[in-house]
Amino acid sequence: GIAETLRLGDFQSTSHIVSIEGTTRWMAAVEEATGGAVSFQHFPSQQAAKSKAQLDAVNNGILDAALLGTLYHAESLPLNSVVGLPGFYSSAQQGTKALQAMLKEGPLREELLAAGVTPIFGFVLPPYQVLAKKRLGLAEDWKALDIRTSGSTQAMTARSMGAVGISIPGPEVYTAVERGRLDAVLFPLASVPGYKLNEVVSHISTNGSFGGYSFVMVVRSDLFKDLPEDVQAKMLELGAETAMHVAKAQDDSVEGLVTQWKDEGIDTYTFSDAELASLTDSMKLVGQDWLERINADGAEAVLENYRALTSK
Amino acid sequence: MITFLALLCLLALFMVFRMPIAFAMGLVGFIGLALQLGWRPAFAVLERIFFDSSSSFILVAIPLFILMAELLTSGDVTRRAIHACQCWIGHVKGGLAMATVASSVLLAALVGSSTASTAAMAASAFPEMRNHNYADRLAAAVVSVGGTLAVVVPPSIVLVVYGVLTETSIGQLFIAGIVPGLLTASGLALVIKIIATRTDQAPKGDPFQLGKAVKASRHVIPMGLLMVGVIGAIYGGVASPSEAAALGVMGSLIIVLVQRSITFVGLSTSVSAAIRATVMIVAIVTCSAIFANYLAFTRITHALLEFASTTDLPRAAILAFMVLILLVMGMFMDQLAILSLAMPLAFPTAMALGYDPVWFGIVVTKTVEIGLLTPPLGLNAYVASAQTGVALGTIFRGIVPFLLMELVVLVVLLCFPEITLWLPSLMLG
Amino acid sequence: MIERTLRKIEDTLHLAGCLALVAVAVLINADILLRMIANRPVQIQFELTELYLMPALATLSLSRVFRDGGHLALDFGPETLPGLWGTLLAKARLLLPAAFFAAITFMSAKFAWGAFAHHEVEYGVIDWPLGWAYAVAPLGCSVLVLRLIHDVFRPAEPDLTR
Ligand code: NA
Ligand code: NA
Repeated sequence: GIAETLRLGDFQSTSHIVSIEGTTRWMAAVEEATGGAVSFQHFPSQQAAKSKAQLDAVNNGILDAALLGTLYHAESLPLNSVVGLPGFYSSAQQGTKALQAMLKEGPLREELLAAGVTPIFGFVLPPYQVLAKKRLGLAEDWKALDIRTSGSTQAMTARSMGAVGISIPGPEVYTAVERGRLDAVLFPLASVPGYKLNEVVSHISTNGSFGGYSFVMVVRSDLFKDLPEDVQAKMLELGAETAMHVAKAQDDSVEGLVTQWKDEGIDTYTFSDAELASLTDSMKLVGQDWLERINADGAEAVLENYRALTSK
Repeated sequence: MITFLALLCLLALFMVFRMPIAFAMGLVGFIGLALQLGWRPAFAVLERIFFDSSSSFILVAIPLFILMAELLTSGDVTRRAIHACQCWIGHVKGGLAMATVASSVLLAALVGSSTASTAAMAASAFPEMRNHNYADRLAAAVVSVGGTLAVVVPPSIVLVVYGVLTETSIGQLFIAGIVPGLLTASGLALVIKIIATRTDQAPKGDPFQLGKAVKASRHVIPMGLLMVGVIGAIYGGVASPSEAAALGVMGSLIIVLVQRSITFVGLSTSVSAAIRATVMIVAIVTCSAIFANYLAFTRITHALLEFASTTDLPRAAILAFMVLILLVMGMFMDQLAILSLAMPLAFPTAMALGYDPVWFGIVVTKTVEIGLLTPPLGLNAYVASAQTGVALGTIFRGIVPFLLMELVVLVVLLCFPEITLWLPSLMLG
Repeated sequence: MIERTLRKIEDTLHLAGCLALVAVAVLINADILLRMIANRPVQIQFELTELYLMPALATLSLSRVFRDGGHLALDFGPETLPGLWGTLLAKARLLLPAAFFAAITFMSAKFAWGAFAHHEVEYGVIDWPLGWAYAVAPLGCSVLVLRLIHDVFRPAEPDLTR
């Protein structure tokens, strides 16, 4: 057949664990397994398109494939934003299994196909944790605190516990925490080293679930359809394998990070059952709010299915 | 490659025949994209390019700091403050330009963006130098070069982006920037000294009179209070660096209202001028983003850096080659575009060669900053020109001696990593 | 007549841009003050600024700034060339950017239109309609196109742009 070079857009930098153990690894595996029938030109760090424009870029032929941060595309992929809700998965592996199941068949997959792209594989970040200069336990502890959140779901998470969700651009979070402008931050632990937040906080939770984040690798549907069937199968198979690999790598890395932070004298703590119950109870509101906002057919069913998949 | 060179010639042609720089870069970038990807994708890039380039909270610092400077200037606050400095050091040749450098360092501790800093100094310090018969080319060059201090001295947007892209400690990068920043400022002062002694571009002011100097000093108080207030707000945790710019506007407004030194017309002219400068800057940033996008799709920097990372030349030669590529990119691109395009390859290469990540960050930042002073895309010179009305050619000529100094500082930083790493190592105990 | 109308449109958009800047300054200060005094920030401030006010203040005055000669050009090349070539060159200098900005206007207007048609929203503190956020760029660019074309056909007269 004819060799196909796909332009693949990515908003993550190549030094991020998601790129090393996920995107880059998958591209190399596909190139090798297809004997060069498919190869990639990788455009990391938003070089080809801004994070919110990646989906459009694939549709318009600027790119052929992209690693989407689905929460950036909540207006075209509302149902996929279910993964952002707090209180569901407790590890990247658990969340990734659930996401892969939902991408295989059902409304999340249909939504992506309707947007003109075919999902190859998806994975999640480990659940968001709370980082602060004091230990935050019961929902009451959060009252009136200024908490950095990103996006509406997280802002609602903060509000459900009586805190204030504050939007601050990523690059300014470090300075804002250091100088006390923020009391706490909701953050995926794997990204903490990137922003060096461990330099400026003293307490990090390890078993909370303050929201999730999903990545989905997509290829433009009309291009994917024209690929030979065995190539399609290889991409999907290697995708499924990569998804679980990057999830496990992140879980392991978080474990390593926690040990390292502990050695640095940071209080890395687990919530007690009473605290978890109090937090989960408060955060129920967020799911209700999501259903009202999305206001789409089948949203309720998606939520139930997601709950079932992450209870395993 | 031939297409690429042809397009560069086209860009040069457009610019020489005085097409506005923003338009020329956008047009050439667009044509390049069309040739590279096809017309449909090229058109699609235009869909949201203005929105994506302007819809950013971090950008608010630019119009707000310009507005702050415009208010203070039209309310006569800066003139009086600089007059006070003039009374103290005006009898030294080039003294006022050196005072401008000192103010740039102070402003740099406040601002994380080069363009915002340059615009503020161009609006406030430049008119004073002109009033004291400084040559336009020197005065405009000093504010352009002084502006680059903003990203070396913390806080700095460029250092933060580098830190995030490469997972290097932002705290250490900030501390590491202090000494190179002061070194650059000293270099600036030295060049001013030489120019003042050898030419008549920086005349001597009135002879020194202690009484007059002491009496004039009270005019420094409002500016001093404003500085302390705004820096205090950032370091005291009241506001983030972007938000602090808004506090600065409020503070300046209060000062000029209390002094009753501004009219409604003055107010609206200030706002209008701030918008004018911002629109010009965003237009250039947007259109050069189209060009940078084209450059990303040509994979030329990728190929060059890949060559650097795979060749078996000595490590110093590879480093020099990479710095050279960054310098050339700086002629055509915005700093943040350069970082995102080059760091994915340049950083791992530097690490593989065994260089220190913090030191490399300062070197890279310094290198891309130099790009703000070089034609054709030299954003600081553009901002200074737009704000002061001095012709671009004049400013670029005025910048030449300072550019040589910047290169010397860069080489010094490259040869003596201790200069950069000494302070951070001290902090770590 | 056309010149006067065009000027009026440019001045109106410029005023809107200025008001957007004033709004940014007021909102951020109100946000800081309220959260210091009452621990209640102005929740909408960040999203309103990022989605609407920044694009407005950065693009609405594109044409007015061009009229005032505010878009920088290098100034060491020849100002004008004599003869037919000179005239053609002077026209091309305006027509090429006019075509380029017409393309931006068309594409970004289509994009904004799509957002209106699909009722696209950004889920934030409130549901922000994205159509309005996208609409300011084509508005600013379209007036710039008119200005550029108008200047092509304007009879030679003293240069007002500097
Ligand atoms: Na700074
Ligand atoms: Na340059």
